[in-house]
Amino acid sequence: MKYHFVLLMLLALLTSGCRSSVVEPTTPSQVSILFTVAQPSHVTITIANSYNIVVKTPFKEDMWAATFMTYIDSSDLPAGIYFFTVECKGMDGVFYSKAMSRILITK
Amino acid sequence: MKYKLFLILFVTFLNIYGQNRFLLTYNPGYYLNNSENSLHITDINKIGSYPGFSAAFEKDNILTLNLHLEYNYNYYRKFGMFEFYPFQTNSPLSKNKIYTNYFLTSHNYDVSLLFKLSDNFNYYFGPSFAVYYRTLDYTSSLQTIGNTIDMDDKLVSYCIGINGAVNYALPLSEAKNHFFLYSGLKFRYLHSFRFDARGRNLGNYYQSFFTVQLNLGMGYNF
Repeated sequence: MKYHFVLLMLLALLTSGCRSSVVEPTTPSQVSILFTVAQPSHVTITIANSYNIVVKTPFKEDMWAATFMTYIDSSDLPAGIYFFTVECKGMDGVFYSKAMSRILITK
Repeated sequence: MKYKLFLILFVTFLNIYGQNRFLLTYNPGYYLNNSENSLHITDINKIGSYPGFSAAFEKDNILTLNLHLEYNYNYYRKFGMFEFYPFQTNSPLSKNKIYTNYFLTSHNYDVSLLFKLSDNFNYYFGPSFAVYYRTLDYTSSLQTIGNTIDMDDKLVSYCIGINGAVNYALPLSEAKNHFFLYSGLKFRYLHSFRFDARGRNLGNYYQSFFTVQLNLGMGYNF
Protein backbone atom coordinates (compact mmCIF):
# COMPACT_ATOMS: atom_id res chain seq x y z
CA MET A 1 0.00 0.00 0.00
CA LYS A 2 2.79 2.42 0.89
CA TYR A 3 4.39 1.74 -2.48
CA HIS A 4 1.19 2.86 -4.19
CA PHE A 5 1.35 6.06 -2.18
CA VAL A 6 4.97 6.70 -3.12
CA LEU A 7 4.20 6.09 -6.80
CA LEU A 8 1.21 8.43 -6.73
CA MET A 9 3.29 11.12 -5.02
CA LEU A 10 5.98 10.86 -7.69
CA LEU A 11 3.39 11.11 -10.47
CA ALA A 12 1.74 14.06 -8.75
CA LEU A 13 5.06 15.88 -8.41
CA LEU A 14 5.88 15.22 -12.03
CA THR A 15 2.63 16.59 -13.39
CA SER A 16 1.55 19.20 -10.85
CA GLY A 17 1.21 22.73 -12.10
CA CYS A 18 2.87 22.15 -15.45
CA ARG A 19 1.08 25.08 -16.97
CA SER A 20 2.24 28.44 -18.15
CA SER A 21 0.26 31.60 -17.72
CA VAL A 22 0.26 34.67 -19.88
CA VAL A 23 -2.12 37.59 -20.06
CA GLU A 24 -3.80 37.72 -23.46
CA PRO A 25 -4.61 41.04 -25.14
CA THR A 26 -8.19 42.16 -24.73
CA THR A 27 -8.30 45.67 -26.13
CA PRO A 28 -6.40 47.36 -28.95
CA SER A 29 -3.77 49.78 -27.76
CA GLN A 30 -1.00 51.92 -29.11
CA VAL A 31 2.46 52.53 -27.74
CA SER A 32 4.22 55.78 -28.55
CA ILE A 33 7.99 55.95 -28.84
CA LEU A 34 9.82 59.27 -28.83
CA PHE A 35 13.35 59.24 -30.24
CA THR A 36 15.99 61.67 -31.44
CA VAL A 37 18.24 61.16 -34.45
CA ALA A 38 21.52 63.07 -34.04
CA GLN A 39 22.43 63.09 -37.74
CA PRO A 40 20.95 61.67 -40.96
CA SER A 41 20.70 57.95 -40.39
CA HIS A 42 19.04 54.72 -41.31
CA VAL A 43 16.84 54.14 -38.25
CA THR A 44 15.52 50.78 -37.12
CA ILE A 45 13.23 50.30 -34.13
CA THR A 46 12.76 46.78 -32.84
CA ILE A 47 10.68 45.45 -29.99
CA ALA A 48 11.85 42.36 -28.11
CA ASN A 49 9.96 40.39 -25.51
CA SER A 50 11.30 39.18 -22.17
CA TYR A 51 12.91 36.22 -23.94
CA ASN A 52 15.09 38.50 -26.10
CA ILE A 53 13.09 37.55 -29.19
CA VAL A 54 12.36 40.41 -31.59
CA VAL A 55 8.58 40.35 -32.00
CA LYS A 56 8.17 43.51 -34.07
CA THR A 57 10.22 45.76 -36.29
CA PRO A 58 7.74 48.61 -36.56
CA PHE A 59 10.06 51.24 -37.97
CA LYS A 60 12.81 50.99 -40.57
CA GLU A 61 13.45 54.19 -42.53
CA ASP A 62 16.04 56.76 -43.52
CA MET A 63 15.60 59.84 -41.32
CA TRP A 64 17.15 63.27 -41.04
CA ALA A 65 18.40 64.78 -37.78
CA ALA A 66 15.40 65.62 -35.61
CA THR A 67 13.16 64.29 -32.84
CA PHE A 68 10.37 61.96 -33.90
CA MET A 69 7.46 60.15 -32.36
CA THR A 70 6.11 56.93 -33.76
CA TYR A 71 3.13 54.86 -32.73
CA ILE A 72 3.17 51.09 -32.51
CA ASP A 73 0.13 48.88 -32.49
CA SER A 74 0.52 46.55 -29.52
CA SER A 75 -2.87 44.87 -29.73
CA ASP A 76 -1.35 41.63 -30.97
CA LEU A 77 1.20 41.42 -28.15
CA PRO A 78 0.51 39.64 -24.87
CA ALA A 79 0.74 41.88 -21.83
CA GLY A 80 4.15 42.06 -20.26
CA ILE A 81 7.54 43.69 -20.33
CA TYR A 82 9.07 44.59 -23.68
CA PHE A 83 12.37 46.13 -24.67
CA PHE A 84 12.48 48.51 -27.58
CA THR A 85 15.74 49.38 -29.29
CA VAL A 86 16.37 52.41 -31.48
CA GLU A 87 19.36 51.80 -33.72
CA CYS A 88 20.79 54.57 -35.91
CA LYS A 89 23.33 53.88 -38.64
CA GLY A 90 24.66 57.16 -40.05
CA MET A 91 24.40 57.88 -43.78
CA ASP A 92 28.11 58.72 -43.63
CA GLY A 93 28.84 55.11 -42.73
CA VAL A 94 30.63 56.13 -39.54
CA PHE A 95 28.02 57.35 -37.09
CA TYR A 96 26.32 54.68 -35.01
CA SER A 97 24.13 54.82 -31.94
CA LYS A 98 21.93 52.37 -30.16
CA ALA A 99 19.57 52.99 -27.26
CA MET A 100 17.31 50.60 -25.42
CA SER A 101 14.41 51.18 -23.07
CA ARG A 102 11.65 49.18 -21.42
CA ILE A 103 7.93 49.38 -21.60
CA LEU A 104 5.16 47.50 -19.88
CA ILE A 105 2.15 46.79 -21.99
CA THR A 106 -0.90 46.28 -19.81
CA LYS A 107 -4.25 45.13 -21.01
CA MET B 1 -2.76 -2.01 -18.46
CA LYS B 2 0.49 -0.10 -18.83
CA TYR B 3 -0.08 1.49 -15.45
CA LYS B 4 -0.48 -1.93 -13.78
CA LEU B 5 2.64 -3.26 -15.48
CA PHE B 6 4.61 -0.25 -14.33
CA LEU B 7 3.26 -0.65 -10.79
CA ILE B 8 4.21 -4.34 -10.69
CA LEU B 9 7.72 -3.54 -11.90
CA PHE B 10 8.05 -0.75 -9.36
CA VAL B 11 6.93 -2.89 -6.40
CA THR B 12 9.15 -5.76 -7.57
CA PHE B 13 12.04 -3.33 -7.79
CA LEU B 14 11.57 -2.31 -4.16
CA ASN B 15 11.41 -5.88 -2.92
CA ILE B 16 14.55 -7.22 -4.59
CA TYR B 17 17.15 -8.16 -2.02
CA GLY B 18 19.69 -5.49 -1.30
CA GLN B 19 20.36 -2.55 0.95
CA ASN B 20 18.02 0.41 0.77
CA ARG B 21 18.75 3.93 1.81
CA PHE B 22 16.47 6.88 2.10
CA LEU B 23 17.95 10.38 2.16
CA LEU B 24 16.67 13.83 2.99
CA THR B 25 19.00 16.70 2.30
CA TYR B 26 19.18 20.46 2.24
CA ASN B 27 20.78 21.73 -0.97
CA PRO B 28 22.28 25.19 -1.10
CA GLY B 29 23.36 25.61 -4.69
CA TYR B 30 24.83 28.00 -7.22
CA TYR B 31 24.24 28.54 -10.94
CA LEU B 32 27.67 28.24 -12.53
CA ASN B 33 25.97 29.02 -15.82
CA ASN B 34 22.44 30.22 -16.41
CA SER B 35 21.25 31.22 -19.88
CA GLU B 36 18.79 33.65 -18.29
CA ASN B 37 21.71 35.85 -17.29
CA SER B 38 22.18 36.89 -20.92
CA LEU B 39 18.63 38.26 -21.18
CA HIS B 40 17.64 41.91 -20.81
CA ILE B 41 15.32 41.07 -17.93
CA THR B 42 18.11 40.17 -15.53
CA ASP B 43 19.59 43.63 -16.05
CA ILE B 44 22.78 43.99 -14.02
CA ASN B 45 21.74 41.19 -11.68
CA LYS B 46 23.06 37.70 -12.10
CA ILE B 47 21.18 34.62 -11.03
CA GLY B 48 23.47 32.92 -8.57
CA SER B 49 22.88 31.10 -5.31
CA TYR B 50 19.65 29.39 -4.37
CA PRO B 51 18.30 27.12 -1.63
CA GLY B 52 16.71 23.74 -2.22
CA PHE B 53 15.97 20.36 -0.75
CA SER B 54 15.85 16.83 -2.02
CA ALA B 55 14.61 13.37 -1.21
CA ALA B 56 16.46 10.37 -2.58
CA PHE B 57 16.21 6.63 -2.54
CA GLU B 58 19.15 4.30 -3.11
CA LYS B 59 18.85 0.62 -3.93
CA ASP B 60 21.78 -1.78 -4.13
CA ASN B 61 22.23 -4.81 -6.31
CA ILE B 62 19.65 -4.36 -9.05
CA LEU B 63 21.08 -6.71 -11.69
CA THR B 64 24.47 -5.99 -10.07
CA LEU B 65 23.86 -2.25 -10.31
CA ASN B 66 23.31 0.26 -7.53
CA LEU B 67 20.67 2.87 -8.25
CA HIS B 68 20.15 6.36 -6.91
CA LEU B 69 16.77 8.02 -7.51
CA GLU B 70 16.31 11.61 -6.46
CA TYR B 71 13.74 14.36 -6.46
CA ASN B 72 15.22 17.82 -5.99
CA TYR B 73 13.45 21.16 -5.58
CA ASN B 74 15.22 24.48 -6.09
CA TYR B 75 13.86 27.97 -5.68
CA TYR B 76 15.49 31.22 -6.73
CA ARG B 77 13.83 34.58 -6.29
CA LYS B 78 14.88 38.14 -6.76
CA PHE B 79 12.62 40.98 -5.76
CA GLY B 80 13.14 44.07 -7.87
CA MET B 81 15.09 42.33 -10.62
CA PHE B 82 14.76 45.46 -12.72
CA GLU B 83 12.86 48.73 -12.81
CA PHE B 84 10.90 50.32 -15.59
CA TYR B 85 8.03 52.61 -16.45
CA PRO B 86 4.73 50.98 -17.35
CA PHE B 87 2.91 52.25 -20.38
CA GLN B 88 -0.62 52.03 -21.58
CA THR B 89 -2.60 54.55 -23.57
CA ASN B 90 -4.29 56.88 -21.08
CA SER B 91 -2.83 54.89 -18.19
CA PRO B 92 -2.43 56.79 -14.92
CA LEU B 93 0.48 54.48 -14.14
CA SER B 94 2.69 55.72 -16.93
CA LYS B 95 4.70 58.08 -14.74
CA ASN B 96 5.36 55.63 -11.90
CA LYS B 97 8.45 53.52 -11.64
CA ILE B 98 7.66 49.82 -11.37
CA TYR B 99 9.78 46.98 -10.05
CA THR B 100 9.59 43.48 -11.39
CA ASN B 101 10.12 40.34 -9.33
CA TYR B 102 11.76 37.29 -10.82
CA PHE B 103 11.28 33.67 -9.74
CA LEU B 104 13.00 30.57 -11.05
CA THR B 105 11.75 27.30 -9.62
CA SER B 106 12.81 23.83 -10.65
CA HIS B 107 11.68 20.29 -9.98
CA ASN B 108 14.52 17.93 -10.83
CA TYR B 109 14.31 14.17 -11.22
CA ASP B 110 17.58 12.25 -11.31
CA VAL B 111 18.17 8.59 -12.08
CA SER B 112 21.76 7.62 -11.43
CA LEU B 113 24.11 4.66 -11.25
CA LEU B 114 25.86 4.57 -7.91
CA PHE B 115 29.42 3.32 -7.39
CA LYS B 116 31.04 2.76 -4.01
CA LEU B 117 34.56 3.95 -3.44
CA SER B 118 34.57 2.63 0.14
CA ASP B 119 32.05 1.91 2.89
CA ASN B 120 31.50 5.62 3.39
CA PHE B 121 32.38 7.20 0.04
CA ASN B 122 30.45 6.85 -3.17
CA TYR B 123 29.78 8.66 -6.41
CA TYR B 124 26.96 8.50 -8.90
CA PHE B 125 25.98 9.90 -12.27
CA GLY B 126 23.11 9.59 -14.69
CA PRO B 127 20.40 11.38 -16.65
CA SER B 128 18.22 14.15 -15.28
CA PHE B 129 14.82 15.49 -16.15
CA ALA B 130 13.51 18.82 -14.88
CA VAL B 131 10.50 21.08 -15.01
CA TYR B 132 11.39 24.76 -14.70
CA TYR B 133 9.05 27.61 -13.85
CA ARG B 134 10.26 31.07 -14.80
CA THR B 135 7.99 33.82 -13.53
CA LEU B 136 8.06 37.57 -13.97
CA ASP B 137 5.67 39.15 -11.52
CA TYR B 138 4.48 42.74 -11.78
CA THR B 139 1.45 42.40 -9.56
CA SER B 140 2.89 43.26 -6.17
CA SER B 141 4.63 46.43 -7.31
CA LEU B 142 1.56 47.58 -9.21
CA GLN B 143 -0.47 47.08 -6.04
CA THR B 144 1.86 49.33 -4.07
CA ILE B 145 0.72 52.26 -6.18
CA GLY B 146 -2.92 51.45 -5.67
CA ASN B 147 -3.59 49.35 -8.72
CA THR B 148 -5.13 45.93 -8.66
CA ILE B 149 -3.98 44.70 -12.05
CA ASP B 150 -3.05 41.03 -11.73
CA MET B 151 -0.08 40.50 -14.00
CA ASP B 152 2.52 37.84 -14.22
CA ASP B 153 4.31 35.98 -16.97
CA LYS B 154 4.94 32.37 -16.05
CA LEU B 155 6.68 30.06 -18.47
CA VAL B 156 7.02 26.34 -17.95
CA SER B 157 9.91 24.56 -19.60
CA TYR B 158 10.99 20.96 -19.72
CA CYS B 159 14.69 20.14 -19.57
CA ILE B 160 16.90 17.10 -19.83
CA GLY B 161 20.52 16.70 -18.89
CA ILE B 162 23.00 14.86 -16.74
CA ASN B 163 23.99 14.86 -13.10
CA GLY B 164 26.87 13.58 -11.04
CA ALA B 165 27.89 13.71 -7.38
CA VAL B 166 30.50 12.64 -4.87
CA ASN B 167 29.17 11.79 -1.40
CA TYR B 168 30.21 10.87 2.09
CA ALA B 169 28.05 9.06 4.65
CA LEU B 170 28.84 8.83 8.37
CA PRO B 171 26.92 6.03 10.16
CA LEU B 172 25.50 6.90 13.57
CA SER B 173 25.53 3.28 14.75
CA GLU B 174 26.88 -0.10 13.74
CA ALA B 175 23.48 -1.78 13.55
CA LYS B 176 22.30 -3.14 10.22
CA ASN B 177 19.46 -0.64 10.14
CA HIS B 178 20.88 2.70 11.08
CA PHE B 179 20.75 6.41 10.54
CA PHE B 180 23.67 8.25 9.02
CA LEU B 181 24.79 11.80 8.32
CA TYR B 182 25.14 12.56 4.66
CA SER B 183 27.05 15.16 2.67
CA GLY B 184 27.89 15.51 -0.97
CA LEU B 185 28.83 17.77 -3.84
CA LYS B 186 26.59 17.56 -6.88
CA PHE B 187 26.74 18.94 -10.42
CA ARG B 188 23.84 19.04 -12.84
CA TYR B 189 23.56 20.28 -16.41
CA LEU B 190 20.14 20.82 -18.00
CA HIS B 191 18.98 22.05 -21.37
CA SER B 192 15.42 22.87 -22.36
CA PHE B 193 13.69 20.83 -25.04
CA ARG B 194 10.09 21.98 -24.81
CA PHE B 195 8.14 25.03 -23.62
CA ASP B 196 4.54 25.58 -22.72
CA ALA B 197 4.53 28.72 -24.90
CA ARG B 198 0.80 29.55 -24.93
CA GLY B 199 0.96 32.03 -27.76
CA ARG B 200 4.28 33.59 -26.87
CA ASN B 201 6.83 34.16 -29.58
CA LEU B 202 9.81 32.22 -28.24
CA GLY B 203 11.74 32.03 -31.51
CA ASN B 204 15.05 30.31 -30.88
CA TYR B 205 14.91 30.95 -27.14
CA TYR B 206 16.34 28.20 -24.98
CA GLN B 207 17.36 27.63 -21.41
CA SER B 208 20.47 25.94 -20.12
CA PHE B 209 21.53 25.58 -16.52
CA PHE B 210 24.74 24.31 -14.98
CA THR B 211 24.55 24.07 -11.22
CA VAL B 212 26.66 22.95 -8.33
CA GLN B 213 25.09 22.20 -4.98
CA LEU B 214 25.92 20.85 -1.56
CA ASN B 215 23.90 17.95 -0.23
CA LEU B 216 23.70 18.12 3.55
CA GLY B 217 21.33 15.95 5.50
CA MET B 218 20.48 12.60 7.00
CA GLY B 219 19.66 9.16 5.74
CA TYR B 220 18.39 5.85 6.93
CA ASN B 221 19.84 2.51 5.90
CA PHE B 222 17.45 -0.48 5.96
